[in-house]
Amino acid sequence: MVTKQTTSPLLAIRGLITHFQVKETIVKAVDDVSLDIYPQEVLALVGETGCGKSVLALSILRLLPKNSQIEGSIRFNGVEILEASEEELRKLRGKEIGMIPQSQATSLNPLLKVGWQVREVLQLHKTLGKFEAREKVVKLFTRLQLPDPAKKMNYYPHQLSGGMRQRVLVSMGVACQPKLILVDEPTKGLDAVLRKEVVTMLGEEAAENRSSMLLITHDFSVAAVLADRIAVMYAGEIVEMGSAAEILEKPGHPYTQSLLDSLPGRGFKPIRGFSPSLSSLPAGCRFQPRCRDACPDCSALHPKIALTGANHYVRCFLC
Amino acid sequence: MLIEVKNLVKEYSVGIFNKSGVRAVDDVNFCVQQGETLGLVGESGCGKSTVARLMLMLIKPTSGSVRFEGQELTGMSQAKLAKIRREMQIVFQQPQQSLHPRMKISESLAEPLKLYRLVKSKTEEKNRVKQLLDEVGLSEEHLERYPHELSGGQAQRVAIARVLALKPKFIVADEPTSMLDVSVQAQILSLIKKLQQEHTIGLLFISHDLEVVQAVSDRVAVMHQGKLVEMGSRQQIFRQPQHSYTKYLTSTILEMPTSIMRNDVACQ
Ligand SMILES: Nc1ncnc2c1ncn2[C@@H]1O[C@H](COP(=O)(O)OP(=O)(O)OP(=O)(O)O)[C@@H](O)[C@H]1O
Ligand SMILES: Nc1ncnc2c1ncn2[C@@H]1O[C@H](COP(=O)(O)OP(=O)(O)OP(=O)(O)O)[C@@H](O)[C@H]1O
Ligand SMILES: [Mg+2]
Ligand SMILES: [Mg+2]
Repeated sequence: MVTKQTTSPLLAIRGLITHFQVKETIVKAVDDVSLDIYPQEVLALVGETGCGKSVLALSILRLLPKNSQIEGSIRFNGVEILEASEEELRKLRGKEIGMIPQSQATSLNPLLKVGWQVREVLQLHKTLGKFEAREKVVKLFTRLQLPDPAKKMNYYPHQLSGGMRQRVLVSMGVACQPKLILVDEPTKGLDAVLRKEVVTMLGEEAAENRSSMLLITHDFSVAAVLADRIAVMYAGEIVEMGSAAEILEKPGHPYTQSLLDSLPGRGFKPIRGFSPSLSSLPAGCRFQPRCRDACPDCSALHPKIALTGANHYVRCFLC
Repeated sequence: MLIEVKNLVKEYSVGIFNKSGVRAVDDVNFCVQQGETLGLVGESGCGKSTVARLMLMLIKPTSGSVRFEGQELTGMSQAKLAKIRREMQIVFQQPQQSLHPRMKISESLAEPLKLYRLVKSKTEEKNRVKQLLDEVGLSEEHLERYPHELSGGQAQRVAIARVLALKPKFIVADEPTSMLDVSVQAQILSLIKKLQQEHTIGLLFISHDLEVVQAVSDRVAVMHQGKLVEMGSRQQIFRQPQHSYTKYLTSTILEMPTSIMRNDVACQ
C-alpha cells in the first residue's frame, strides 16, 4: 500500500550477498538482493524451491551456519544488523524480529515439551510470570484450534501430528508481538480450514501489533490474502517486485508468468526443466535457459532490475 | 490384493500417571491394489500419519491386522519384516525423518542401493545416484552436502528419490510435496506417476492439498477423528460426497484460491 511507503522503511536490505562454501564450490544462495519492508507492510517472497528464500530470512536474523559468508547491508529500525554484536542480536531475535521457521525438525527441541518451548520464548523477552506465560500459551494454542490446548502443552513434539507442530511454530513466532515477523511457509501441512485460520490469525496479529511481515510462501492464495507487495525470487536474485495485485494480474517477468501458469487453476503447465545450480549459474539472465521468450541478448547480458510501472520492478530485457 | 488393513486400532498413552490413552486410529479398514493410488485425506490430527506408520509396522497397532501380499505383518519378527521392508517404503511428512542428519546426500542415496544390492559396482552406484538426483531436479553439487545444507524442498526431493530408487511394491507418501512450489510439484508428481505405472506400485497418498489428491488418486479415503468415514472413487468423493464431513471438507477447496483465479488470462 502506497501510504505505508511514505514513511521510512522498517527493514532496508541493500546488496545482500549470502554465499556458502562447500569444499571448493561457492553456492550463491542470495546474490545481490535489495528490498525494503515498510512499517505495517506485508511483503510476500515467492520463488522456486531452492532459490534462496529461507537463507534470505535467516540472514536477517544472522542465523547462518559457519560455512556462510555475508556481505551488504541490513538495516532494521536504524540498526545495522550485519555489524550488531551477539548481545544486540539476542535482543532483536524473538522480541523485535520474530520468526516462524520452515523446518519443524530443526526448530523444535525433541526433548522438551512444546508448552515449555513456547513459554520460554515469552519469558526470555517479556517480564511475564510463569503463570501469566502459561495462560498466554494456552490462549495462543486455543486460537490456533489445537484440541485440548492445556493438555497439549505437556506433549513432546513427536507426540503431535505434523499440522499440530506447525501451529506450535506459529505460536512461537507471534508470541512476543514482534515489530517484524519472518514467516517461512506458515501453512504447510495444514488442512484447508486451519490454513484459513492461520492466515487470518497472522493478518490479525500483524494488524493488532502494527507489525510488518516477510511472508515466504509457495501458496499464491496465501500471498493474495495477506500481502501488500510481492517479491519474486529466482536463483538467488529478485526478478520482480510490485504490488500484490499487479504481480498476480499483470506479471511482467516471464518466470512469474510461467509460475502462475503452473497453478492448477490457471492451466497447470509446469515450467520445463529445473532451476540452475547456484554454484554454476548460466551467463546472462539466470532464467534464460528455460524462458519461452528468450532472445540472443538474454544469454549474453545480465539484466538489471528496472522500473516498469508504479513501484513495479522487473529484471528482464522484455524481448 | 497388495495391502489390506483390517480393524486397525492405535491408542497412544500420554503422561506417566494418566494412562487413559488417545485413540488416534479407530477401527480402520481399507486396501490398496497393485498400481493403484489411494488418496488419504482428513483434518490435521485425524490419524493419517499414524495409519501410515502402522501399515509399515514402524509402530505396533493396539489391535487389528495388516496384510501385505497375503502375509500378516502384525506379530512378524523384525528379521522377517526387514526382508519385506524393501517392498514397502515411506516418504515421511518431514523430510528430515527420511534422511540421516550426519550422512551426506550421496551416502543417503547410495545406502539403500547397497543394502539391497541393486548396484554391482562403485561406478554403477555413482551413476545411479546421479541419475536419481537428476530425475528430481537436483544436481551433482548437492551430493557432498548434508541434509541441513539443503532447502526444504530439496530435502523433500532427496527423500522421494531415495524411495523411488528401490522400486518398491508399495509406497506411502505423507505430504510428499508440501514444500515444493507449484511448478516443481507438478514435475515431481508426474515422475511418481510415471514410475508407479512402470512398476505397478501401489501408492497411499496423504495430502491436505485436495487439488493434488484429485489429480493423482484413483480412489480416496476420508478420515475424521481416527475413523474412516467415507471411501470411494475420486469422482464419487469430490462430486457426490455422502458423509457430512466429506461434504464439509470438499467444500473448503474453493474457499481461498478464488481471489487469484478470477484472472486466468492475465499473462500475455
Ligand atoms: N549450509 C548450506 N551450505 C550450502 N548450501 C546451502 C546451505 N544452506 C542452503 N544452501 C543452498 O542455498 C540455496 C537456497 O536455500 P534456501 O533454503 O534459501 O531455499 P528456499 O528458497 O527456501 O527453498 P525451499 O522453497 O525449498 O525452502 C539452496 O540451493 C540450498 O541448497
Ligand atoms: N507418539 C504419540 N504419542 C501420543 N499421541 C500421539 C503420538 N503420535 C501421534 N499422536 C496423536 O495422534 C493423533 C493423530 O496424529 P497423526 O500424526 O496421525 O495425525 P495426522 O492425520 O497425520 O495429522 P497432520 O495432518 O497434522 O499431519 C494426534 O492427536 C496426535 O497428537
Ligand atoms: Mg525454504
Ligand atoms: Mg501427519
